[in-house]
Amino acid sequence: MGRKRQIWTGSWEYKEGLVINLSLFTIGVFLEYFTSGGGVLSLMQYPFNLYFLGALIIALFVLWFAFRNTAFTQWLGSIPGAISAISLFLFMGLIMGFTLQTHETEPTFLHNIGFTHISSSWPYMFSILLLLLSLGITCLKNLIPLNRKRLGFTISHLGLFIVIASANFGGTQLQRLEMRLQEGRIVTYATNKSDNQVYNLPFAIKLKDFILEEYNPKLTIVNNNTGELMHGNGKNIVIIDSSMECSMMDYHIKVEEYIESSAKAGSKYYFNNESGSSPAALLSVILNDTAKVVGWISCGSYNKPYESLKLDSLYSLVMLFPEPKLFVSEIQIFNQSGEITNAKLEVNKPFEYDDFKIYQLNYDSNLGKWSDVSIIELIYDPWLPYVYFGILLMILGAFYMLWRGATKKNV
Amino acid sequence: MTWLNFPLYAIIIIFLWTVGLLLMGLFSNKRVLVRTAYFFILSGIIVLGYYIFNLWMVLERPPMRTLGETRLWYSLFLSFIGFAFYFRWKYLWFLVFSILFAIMFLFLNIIYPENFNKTLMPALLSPWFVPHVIVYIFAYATLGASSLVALKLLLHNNNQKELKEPEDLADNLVYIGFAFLTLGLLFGALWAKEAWGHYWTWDPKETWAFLTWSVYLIYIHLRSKNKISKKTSHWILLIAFIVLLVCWFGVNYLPSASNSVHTYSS
Repeated sequence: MGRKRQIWTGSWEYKEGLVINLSLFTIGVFLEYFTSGGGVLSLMQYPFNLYFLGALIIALFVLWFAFRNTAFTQWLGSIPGAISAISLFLFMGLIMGFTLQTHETEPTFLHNIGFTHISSSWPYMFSILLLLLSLGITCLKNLIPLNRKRLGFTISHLGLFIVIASANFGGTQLQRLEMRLQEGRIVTYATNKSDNQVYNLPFAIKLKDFILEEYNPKLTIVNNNTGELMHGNGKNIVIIDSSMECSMMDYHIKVEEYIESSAKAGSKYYFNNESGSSPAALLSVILNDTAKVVGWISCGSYNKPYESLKLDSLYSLVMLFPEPKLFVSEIQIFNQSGEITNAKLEVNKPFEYDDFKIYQLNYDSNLGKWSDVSIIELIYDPWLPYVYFGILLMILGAFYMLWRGATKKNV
Repeated sequence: MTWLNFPLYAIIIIFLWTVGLLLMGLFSNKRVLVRTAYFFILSGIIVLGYYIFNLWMVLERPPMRTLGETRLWYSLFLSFIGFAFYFRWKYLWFLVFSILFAIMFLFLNIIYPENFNKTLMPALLSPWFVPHVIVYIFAYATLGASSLVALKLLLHNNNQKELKEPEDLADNLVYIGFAFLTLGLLFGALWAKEAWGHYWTWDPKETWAFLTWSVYLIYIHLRSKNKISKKTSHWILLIAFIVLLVCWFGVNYLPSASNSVHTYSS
């Protein structure tokens, strides 16, 4: 380390890394600028993504078998090479961490140099290439011939290579199609949200039933004049049920009666299960052991007014809208040969059909639990198995690391 | 057995752990007392496990739905891992650190009992929720400890002789922490695919999680050949922890942080 080494002589290290990083970044920004922030996505569409990935892999093998001893190949497989590559990628992350990523096409300066859409920009693509070259050479170095002692190390690096390569080269084939279903109707088309194109699907979907389960509503105090919720950092929010009794601020509150689904008739609430019926509770409130207020509250719904209970000139009790606990769409899928598949879509539980994964996405939130509309999403992601394989390798690598970390002390 | 009994149980557990740690710290050369200390710490873990088991029975569902409930699991896992790792490597400070962290979570549950009933949005109701969060919190705890070691080394850099051991400590901690960080990140990706349809969307939380991961990745590569000065590596650990804090608090603590979740509840 002692004496100074001329740049580009001997084995390359951080100086060369810095120059390489700066050049890649500058060229990337210029390319972005000259294409008015066009990014790389249009070039990476299928099948070109495959050609590029193939070219990268061939380049890796050529570098390793024909130019193994060049300073560049050696550098790629070295620690300084790895750190330079990670640094450039990290720098891309920093830009994303500090600039709003809008992916809109308004021609601002930041957009034109690619900073508003880093993950599809030229500088990002260059950093991915450098990272994949570095990872690839590192893997080849340990795989051919196989270095058994460094198997865990190689597995984690190979996993990362596969994840980054499939996510970035295969990601352009990902399609997200949205479908708006209405109970009882059969829908055969879906909209691609990225370009608003409507696609006809090779199958049709019918929404049999949309079910939304809610938590019990919450009770809190509101300031009559400002409308501000006096929730006291969450201390003055409780969930209402038929046996609830609690203290909020100086009020002691007891639930006398709770109806999960109700409608008002006269001055009282009764059980009712028609569209728009809402939870209601009869409360009794004691203030300083004396004044007693009794009355109904309800959060209302899309077609029923809410009702609050006035405690005094300053405060009232209000029931908040119940929060959704679970929402499920029961659907039927019809394919062209007339087969019918029944499925249940739930958040966190997508359903696989053909090449798609079907997700529960949304519903008509104005109607809440009475919504007869369900919005679902169909996702086509052909590279997912490769990504999962890479993730599996990385998980194995992480376990290896735990084990190695444990034994390092004793070496 | 409900949350009403919790303060009593928490105090018993904290008492057992504190006595165990004190015995270990004060009488580290007396084998009988150290064994007794093991007994106290293990008893605390068992009492906590017993409480969670009972809560599970009473609630007739896994107690993993509310924040308060997940904090119980953090405490259980952290204390258990701390104890197991202590057995493996004999790092007393690591046990102390995990137990203190576990106690902090129990205290949070005593101080904020009103959070027990809080509802969770459907996106969080997933089997990935608990492993993702626990693994992450454990990684944060371990990496935080590595920064403490680095800070200690930076402040005492005059007497270099006796500090070989803490150097290895910092590295070992980063290794463990980084492995957990990687697992947390990957579990998060797998969960995101199930919940939101894509494993990685570069939303702010993900971006900062990636940044945190990268800084530690650079540290590990730099240390692997011992090519940088010790001082530089300690500074990197401190900076890495700042990035980690931005990711943890700066972007919001639950995996629901940004845009993605609005699709479900607004």
